[in-house]
This record gives sequence, C-alpha cells and structure tokens, in this order.
Amino acid sequence: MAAARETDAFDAIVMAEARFHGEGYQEGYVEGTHAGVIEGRQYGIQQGAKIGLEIGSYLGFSMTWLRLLQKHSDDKHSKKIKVLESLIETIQRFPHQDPTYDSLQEDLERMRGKFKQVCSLLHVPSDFRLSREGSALSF
Amino acid sequence: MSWVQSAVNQMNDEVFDEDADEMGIAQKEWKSTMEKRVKEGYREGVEAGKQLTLQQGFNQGYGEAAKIMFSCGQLKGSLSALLSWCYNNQCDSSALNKVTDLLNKTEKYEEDTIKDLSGRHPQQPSFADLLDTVEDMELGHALSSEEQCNGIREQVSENGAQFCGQSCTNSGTNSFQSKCCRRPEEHKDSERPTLAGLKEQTVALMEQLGLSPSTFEYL
Repeated sequence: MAAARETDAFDAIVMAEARFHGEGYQEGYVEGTHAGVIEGRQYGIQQGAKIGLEIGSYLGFSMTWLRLLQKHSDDKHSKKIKVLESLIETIQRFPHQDPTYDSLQEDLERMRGKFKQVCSLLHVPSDFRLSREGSALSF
Repeated sequence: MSWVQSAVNQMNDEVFDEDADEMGIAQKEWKSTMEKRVKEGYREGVEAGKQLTLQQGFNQGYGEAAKIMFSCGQLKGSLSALLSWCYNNQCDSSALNKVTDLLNKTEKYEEDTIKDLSGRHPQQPSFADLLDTVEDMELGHALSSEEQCNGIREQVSENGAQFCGQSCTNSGTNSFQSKCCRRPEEHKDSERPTLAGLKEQTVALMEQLGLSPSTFEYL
C-alpha cells in the first residue's frame, strides 16, 4: 500500500514537471514562430532586394539598348541584337521572386556573364551606373 | 510568469498543509524546479517555433523585395542604357545632364525604397494574441501542435495580403506601379518621387532626345 502511494506521488511529480515544461514550450513556441517570421523576413528582404535590383537593371539596360539598336537597324548590329535578346530571354525566364529556385546561382552567373558580354560588345564599361560602387561616371 | 507562481502556490496549498521550516525549504525547491522546467520548455519552444517560420519569413520577404526592386532596377537599367548610348553617340551636354539627373533621382528612390522595405514588418494582431484568445476560450489544449501551426501559417499569409492591400491603396493606376510606389507615410508623397513619376520623366526625356517613347513602352 505504502509503495503504491509513493509511486503515485512520484508520478504526480513527474507529471507536474512535464506539464510545466509543456506549458513553457507552448508559450515559447508561439513566441518563436512569431520571431522566426520577423527575423527570416528581414534577411529575405535584404537578399531579395539585392537580386531583384541587379536582375531588373540588366533587363532594363538590355531592353533599352535593344530598342535603340533596332531603331537604327543596321546589319553590323545583328550580333549585338542576338546577344541582347538572349540575355533578355534568360532574365524573363528567371523566377526572380523565388529564393528556392534550384538553379538560382547558376542562372545568376549566366546572366552576369552575358551582361558583361553585352557591355563589351556595346563598348560600355560593365560597372556603368549599374553597381553602387560605380555610381560615379566611370568614363 | 505570475501564472506559474499561482499554479505552484495552489499546489503547495494542497500538498503542504502543515507549515514547517522543512516544508518551506521543500516548497522553494519545488518551485525553483518547476520554474526551471518552464524556462527549459520555453527555450525549446522558441527554437522549434523559429525553425518552423524562419524559412517562410525569408521566402516571403525575399519575394516581396525582389518584385519591388526588380521594377526599380528596370528603370535604373534603362536610364543607364540611355546614358551610355548618349555617350557613345555624343549627345549634347544638356541631354547628358538630364539623363544623369534622372538617374540620380532613381538611385535616391531606390535607396528610400530599400529603407522602407527593411523598416516594414508584417502587422501584428500577433499570433500570440490570437492564441491567447483561443486559450481564453479554453480551446487551446484541444489544438494539436499541427493544428496550431496551420493556424499560424494562415495568419501569416493573411497579414501579408492585408499589408499588401493597404500599401497599394494610395498609389497606382496599375498593379505594376502600385507595387513600387507604396509609401508608408502619405505626407512624404510630395517630397519623394514615385516610380511612376520617374518613368514619366524618362519618357518625356526620350521625346526630347528625339527617340520614340515606344522605346520605353515595356516599362
């Protein structure tokens, strides 16, 4: 009988510990989910803004140059136009709002490479007013 | 965590009826052990909760910022192209100055927009409040943790949508612009350029340079 009562008391203590732990956990869990959204979001905004701005700049740059070259249509521009079109197509296919995109890094590198190629064909320094560092005229 | 104390006191009243010094010590030990359990649980809970939503918050912030800054980048890139074209084609200096000026304004706009984005939080009739309400209704314990997670996720997306809706109301004529022209404080509208305004100036400049505005129709 006495042993049974002791076991009951022991169980009660263990249960109480588990209950307090559980209540703390619940409270923490709610706080944590909340804090996680805020923290993750801040970091996501930084990264997303950087990539969005970079890729958007490439697109605006290429589209405008393409129109300018098409306007003064000339056979000697055909190579430039081809490369510009290829860059534009790559950018438009790129899911710039999706950080979980599998080939994000490879595609980024491809676009950067193509952009450099475009710049060199157009005789424009590739840091020309597109990167923050190059914000002063680099000619 | 006053509820812990009251819970502990309540238990103590039941368990330790006869008051004695020994019992006093035992009470304190009991209380501190239970407080430790609560704190342990809390810490573990915070970690678990964060793991659940960090990626989700990242993806959400990334997508939102990338979309807005992509549009800003497009204008900036277009103006850069125009500037380099002007250089290569020896435009007169007043044209060059105008393009440069507009590019500076666009970069200022870009900086401001990034600041706005970073200072922006999803609004908080927070998850905690929501859960408190549920608990007040004494339904809290009936929720499995999975159900709670779903609830939280829904709340997040609701907040996102609501936020987006509010930000867009005071600007654009189309969704593309409105995404980019959101301003948290209305009174700043007069001082700060909008993306739509900058685009208009760009198109006007194109015309002055003898270029067809259709060159910029994609903006």
